[in-house]
Amino acid sequence: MNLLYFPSLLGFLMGLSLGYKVKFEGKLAALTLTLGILIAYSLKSYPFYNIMGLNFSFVYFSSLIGALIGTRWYKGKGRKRWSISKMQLS
Amino acid sequence: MELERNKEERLIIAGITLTIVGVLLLSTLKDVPGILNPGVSRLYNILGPRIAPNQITMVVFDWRGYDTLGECLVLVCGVLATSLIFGRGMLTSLKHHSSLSRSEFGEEVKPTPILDFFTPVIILLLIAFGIYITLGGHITPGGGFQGGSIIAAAVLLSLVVYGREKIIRWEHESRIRWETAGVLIYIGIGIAGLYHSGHFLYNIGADLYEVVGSGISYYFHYPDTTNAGVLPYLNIAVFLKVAAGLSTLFLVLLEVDER
Repeated sequence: MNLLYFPSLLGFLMGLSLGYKVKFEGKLAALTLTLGILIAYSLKSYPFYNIMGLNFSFVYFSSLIGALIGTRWYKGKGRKRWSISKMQLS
Repeated sequence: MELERNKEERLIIAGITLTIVGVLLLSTLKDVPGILNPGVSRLYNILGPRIAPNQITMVVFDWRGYDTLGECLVLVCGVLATSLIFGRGMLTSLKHHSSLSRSEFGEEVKPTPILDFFTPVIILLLIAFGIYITLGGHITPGGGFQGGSIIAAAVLLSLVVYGREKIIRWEHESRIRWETAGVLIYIGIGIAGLYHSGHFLYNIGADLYEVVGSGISYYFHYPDTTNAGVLPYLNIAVFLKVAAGLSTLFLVLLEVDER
């Protein structure tokens, strides 16, 4: 595996753990992804991280993908757990 | 009366302490020429490029890592003091609603359709940007503090638009876990350096002085083409700490008004 993918992997995991906390409507995912691709292209790749010769920020994009997947996770298990803890405290 | 009686003894102790400190300070003066020549900046310039391309990160985390740890603890103290003064019971109370989601007449205030539509999108984009800034800390201007602040800005945005606990569900216990994990990672890396080299926060990943075995160095070496070693991991530790700490601060301060 190319070591330059490591920050993208880390970014994905960090995005997942933060996106898990966000309530997000699924219909906005396409808009978010489009904006994310535009921003990642504008940011360009980091020096020393030019993967496959593409001038594209894979770290940013993978973080966004991680956050988006994390929000899906929120919809399932997370929300259930949240409502339980709310009931216990009230 | 007792204070008066001990006055002479205290003066003697103070005198001895001042003498010891004075002698130590004077003794360092004779080593100053050795410190000034070749000079700290020159030393940074010689060794710096061998560690991380971004020399500011290298100085802040590698050679002044102690200082950075202290700065993080200042933030902890700030959050603690603010919570103690303003936020009694606010952090754990789920029944409490933000003053921002209510008008001054007590009515529920809803965000405008534009804010309602774009805020979740911007929050996700901000989260990705915060992570991006953190993970590039060792090669570009940025790092954990900046990245963590951006995440806290995303939390603040959600609080301003929706009020508390509407869109970002980040419980106090979870924030404590994040902050504790950040500090423990930082101190753990520091102690690992101390154990292997005798110096707290020695960069055992970069291992510039070759005092650590290659096996240990391999595990702490950030796998990229630079020789940043543990610096990106320290950035992530600071990111965890700052993101959680500043978010807590915002949560407390935004609810002060209602009290």
